[in-house]
Amino acid sequence: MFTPPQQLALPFAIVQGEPLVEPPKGLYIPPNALKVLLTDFEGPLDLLSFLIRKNKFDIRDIPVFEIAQQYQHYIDLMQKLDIELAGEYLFMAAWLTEIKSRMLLPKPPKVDDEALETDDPRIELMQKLLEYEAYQQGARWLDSLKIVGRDLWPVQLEVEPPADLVANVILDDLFVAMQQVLQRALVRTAHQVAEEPIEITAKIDWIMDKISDKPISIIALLVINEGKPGLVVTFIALLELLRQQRIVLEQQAAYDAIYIRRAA
Amino acid sequence: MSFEQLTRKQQQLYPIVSALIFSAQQPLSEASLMALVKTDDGFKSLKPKDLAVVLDVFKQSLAHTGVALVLSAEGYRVEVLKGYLDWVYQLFEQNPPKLSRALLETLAIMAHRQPVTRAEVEAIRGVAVSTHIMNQLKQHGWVKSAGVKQVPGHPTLWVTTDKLLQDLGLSSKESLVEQLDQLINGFVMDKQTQHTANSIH
Repeated sequence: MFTPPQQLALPFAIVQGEPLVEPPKGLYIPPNALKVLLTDFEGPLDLLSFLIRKNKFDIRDIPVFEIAQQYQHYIDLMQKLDIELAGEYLFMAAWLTEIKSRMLLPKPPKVDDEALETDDPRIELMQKLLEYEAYQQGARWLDSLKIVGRDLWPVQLEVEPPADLVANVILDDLFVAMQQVLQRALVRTAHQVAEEPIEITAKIDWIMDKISDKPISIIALLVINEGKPGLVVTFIALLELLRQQRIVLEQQAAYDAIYIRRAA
Repeated sequence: MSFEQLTRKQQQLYPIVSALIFSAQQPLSEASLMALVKTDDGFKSLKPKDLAVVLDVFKQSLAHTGVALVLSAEGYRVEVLKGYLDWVYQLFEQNPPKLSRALLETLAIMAHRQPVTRAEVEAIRGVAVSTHIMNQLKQHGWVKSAGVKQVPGHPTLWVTTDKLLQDLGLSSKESLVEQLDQLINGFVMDKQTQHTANSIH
């Protein structure tokens, strides 16, 4: 069995020439610093790959029990610090739990090694992590490029070619042209076409004038040249008058003519 | 070398070349500079070395300024030096844009997988792509929509723009996609070969 060489812990700090591997006990870490670290994660995959790197785990052989526990610890911490958690974080926690439980199930009898490998419930997670880490590399490469606006600013003189046509205009000509334009403008008059509004209040007054105690057919209230708008306004005016109980509408039988008279 | 040490032809060339570089919309390659200058019969016999010397003197003349003559993949351009960008941004009452990790990751995925939908980016990053990030990318003019994917819901397909290539100093979209492809597939392959090697042990 191949065992990777144990990597020495990086010194936390160097004090008077002596490397300090463990942070001193009672070192005060301001709570906000932790909060900054925690809000800095770009999602569950980022948090997971951070944990794997931090523990120097092998991405091809993720110790799911260990990692799920640590992941949950971070989630709890984030919730305690009132960091708003995206649903994806909880989804990942559920997924880890699922992988964990599937690994607990007894394995089916193996046919050959390859079949066993594809059965590993961690494969999909590993692929997702690998793909994400690959794109993080891609992002770092983009970041390393010199980007216009962020890292450099191209200097450019504004050179605007003059308009194609430049005529020599004599002031007198311009004056004459202006006068001609003004004269032409005088000849022109504008017509404004507007709809003539029919006011409901006016229509109400007009109806009250027109009717008396003696009933007349409501057809008599229609004015032909007012057209459809007049018809609508008359209808609304009648409804309003009826509501105010200033008129009475009568009909002898269904489909008969409707008669109108002043209310008593 | 100073201006006085140039030959007469080179001294004539100097103002032309500097004017061209200052006024061009894009970086100018040596080839395009040569072609532009040679339209004048007086410069018919010009050698690339003459141009190189003139460019060198022009570069030195900017020594104590906040700008420099820079040669990128596309050609020569005068640029404000990085240390003075903050000052330039004061003109616009802004700060130089910071590109967040989320934005760069989204951009890397979009550039490599284009045309790509937002949901596909989200599947890889394992987290939602915020509207803020999309707006930033659009404001920089780095991505644009290119139709919809023919699946239920008709999500928008995103592609990168020529502006992105210019801003990154890359010559073509192919080179952008290819460099990302090598990086990303290389990374995954690398890890997977290790995988096979380990399984044999």
